[in-house]
Amino acid sequence: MSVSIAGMSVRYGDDDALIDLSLDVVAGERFAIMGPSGSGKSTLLRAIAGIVPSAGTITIAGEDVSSMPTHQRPIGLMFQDFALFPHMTVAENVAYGLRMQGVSGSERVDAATGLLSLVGLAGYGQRDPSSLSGGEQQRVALARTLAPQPKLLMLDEPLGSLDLALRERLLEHTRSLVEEVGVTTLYVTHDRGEAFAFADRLAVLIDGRVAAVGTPSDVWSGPGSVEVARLIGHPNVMDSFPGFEGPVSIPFDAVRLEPSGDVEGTIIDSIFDDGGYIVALAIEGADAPLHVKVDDPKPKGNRVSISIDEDKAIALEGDQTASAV
Amino acid sequence: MDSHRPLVAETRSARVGRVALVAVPALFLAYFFVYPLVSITVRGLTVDGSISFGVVTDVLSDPTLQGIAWFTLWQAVVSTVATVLLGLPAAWVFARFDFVGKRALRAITLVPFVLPTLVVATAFLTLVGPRGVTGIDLTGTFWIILIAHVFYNYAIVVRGVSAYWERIDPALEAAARTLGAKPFQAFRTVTLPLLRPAIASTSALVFLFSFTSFGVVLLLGDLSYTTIEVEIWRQATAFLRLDVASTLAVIQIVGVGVVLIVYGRFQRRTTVTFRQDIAPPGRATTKRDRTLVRLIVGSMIAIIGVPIGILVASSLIEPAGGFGFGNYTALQTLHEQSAAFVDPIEAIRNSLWFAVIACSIAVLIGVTASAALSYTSRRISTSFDVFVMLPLGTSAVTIGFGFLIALDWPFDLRASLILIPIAHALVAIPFVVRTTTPALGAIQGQLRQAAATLGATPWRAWWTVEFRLVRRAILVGAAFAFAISMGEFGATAFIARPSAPTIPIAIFKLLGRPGGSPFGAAVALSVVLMMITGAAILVIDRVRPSQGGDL
Repeated sequence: MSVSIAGMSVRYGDDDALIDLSLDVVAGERFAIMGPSGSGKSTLLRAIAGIVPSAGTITIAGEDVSSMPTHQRPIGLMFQDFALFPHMTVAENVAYGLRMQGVSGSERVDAATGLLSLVGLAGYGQRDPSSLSGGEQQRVALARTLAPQPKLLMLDEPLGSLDLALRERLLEHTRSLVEEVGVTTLYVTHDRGEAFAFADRLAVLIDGRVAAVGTPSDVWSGPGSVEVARLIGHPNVMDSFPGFEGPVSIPFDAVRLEPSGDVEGTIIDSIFDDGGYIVALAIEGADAPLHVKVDDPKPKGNRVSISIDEDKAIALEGDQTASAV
Repeated sequence: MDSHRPLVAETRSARVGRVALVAVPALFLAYFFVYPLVSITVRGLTVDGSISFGVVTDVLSDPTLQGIAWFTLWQAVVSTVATVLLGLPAAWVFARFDFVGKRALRAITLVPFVLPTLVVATAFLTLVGPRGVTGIDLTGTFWIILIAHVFYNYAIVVRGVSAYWERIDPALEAAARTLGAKPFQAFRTVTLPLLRPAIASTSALVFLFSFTSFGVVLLLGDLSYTTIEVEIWRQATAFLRLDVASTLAVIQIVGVGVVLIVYGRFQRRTTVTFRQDIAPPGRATTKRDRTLVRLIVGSMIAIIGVPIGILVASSLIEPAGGFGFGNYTALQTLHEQSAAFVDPIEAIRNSLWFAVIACSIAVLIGVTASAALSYTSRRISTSFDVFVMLPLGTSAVTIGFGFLIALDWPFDLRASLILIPIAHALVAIPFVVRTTTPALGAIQGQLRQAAATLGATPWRAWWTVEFRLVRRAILVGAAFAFAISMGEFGATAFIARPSAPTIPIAIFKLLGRPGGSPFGAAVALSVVLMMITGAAILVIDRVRPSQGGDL
């Protein structure tokens, strides 16, 4: 079920949360929306769900849903912190959407039982949601959202409130489950790792606008702007660097330490990382220290020479927010 | 090791202090509350020193009294249901939206609550009484009692339920909507069940206040409708049937006790885990919401504003016709015309004195009790909590009546004026406790420990740290106590001496006189009383602390 959003705008009072946003998601695609907090990514999901009013057109599986009230839209939204109903059992939570559709009691019990075993929580039906761990709550919320068989599944920071160790496992689980169900999915996160691992394609949202869109590798190799490059975790995003005009991102593999190098710098820090070391170099004319991967730690204060492969460096658009000020 | 010695001494004195914290309020309540109630019970259930259910049987089989009991019950039920139904939409608007003038409107909702019953009754007399501006006379009908009860208790529902509602995560209802629930379906299946504890506990309060309603029913029911509360007063003061009055009081206490137990149950069962980080509500975003917010805010202003506005306007209509301050100037001269009138100026002076004393007693006892509640073990504090809150559910008339029959031992206090502020303080103590206990409870125990490690004695630690943090809450409690004392009528009706009338007593006496000029003066005096309690509300609104400080 393809999803198409055209010209979507949302205003909160005098603040623009989303500005003329357009997005196309292919049927069955796992699509991530990535952005810093306040970028409007949760608002986007809420607008698609019809919880906040928006201008523009939302088309799901060829049907214009823009003027439908929330309860008629063929969507499922899993909320941040899950929003499990505290006065209902796990099974009642999962069956809630079917109850609203008028599905009979016995069918609801069967469906809830099936979904709970699908998410690996068979036998949890009579439990109280508050008695579950964070990870279990997440899986109940997922089962509840999937129960009415939405055409578009939306996950709002699904792992945001969980601890690190749990996240990796649940990301894996969520991804394979969504793949198995085959539902078109929007996955909102501020974490680039999650976005890259989950998505077929992703959009980076900054200040209510789409700043980049594409497959993870496309966006990684061509972030376009300084902000996107910083957000997706490029190690050296420079506003100015000697030998380059304008902002540039210098990947680790573009830099080599060699005595004949044409750029000189002073080592100001050296930290252990992933089996090697990363040294930070203060370089004349650069607005920030350059991080370079090396095999051995280097003493602070030493002067070193480096060479930079200009073909591997990525030219960027300037920081729009900074230039606007 | 010299420094260790004071520590041992301190623990001992701390223990003495803790005992005193419990003992002072406990002894006060034991003598001025429990002992009179026990005396009433003994009086109602014994004849010549031996237990007898004779009077009880007489009362229960008297068709007139049966009718009164039945009316008391069903009017309270109807008043409660009507107040909750009207209050829920307003609670929703307060909990879920921001709008222009929200803060002011929240303060205004306090007005009916601290408005003395006599003022409320007078306001409705100016609206739908025999001399009312609408020309419709509803006195002696059930409707006027219902309307007055709704007006009076509206704020309890709005404030109590909205405070609870705004802590329920809006995502829950949104989640229901995305799962296919229509707006009302989402409310019914998710929000309403979660609100149930708040609705139940505020309903219990509204029910109690309507069940034991005195001034409103006495003045507006015109004796064709009478509650048990009014009947206790009539039997004791008009017919001098202390045995019947006692029996009625016992019946009422049992009824109140049942409701209080239910109330306590629901108070304790508020187990929904609230989120602390819910974003403050924003403006209404959809057209439908904006219309609803406007409609509901408008109706709130009407419900609260119309009776008050008419009261003030009526006070400016002179008995001879035309507008002017004649009713106010009459306050100074009326008593010179006839010895039957009390001097309103003297009544104002008396009321202010009584209020200051009552307020001091209520703060002393109430804050001590709050401190005891927050420093003693959980097991003691929960039962102590119920004990301290009991006067809230006990009717004012019962308190006044109890004073009258019990407080001749060990000294005869019944002729003493001090009884009036003490009775007022009893009514006010639960409010002081309810405003200060949450504030004290919110203080981290670590602060006290930090002060102790820095060398402060327990008393110094309390004064320099905790008192500073709770003094705003105490001030709010004091303002409530002041306002309650200014307007208290039920208990005062029993124990006021003709030589020292209060404002409500003066209003009551004026309303009992025929003619337009005493009525005009009663209305003017009601406005004066409203302004004084209104000043207390301003204090409450200005200094409200972030923790506690509400009902």
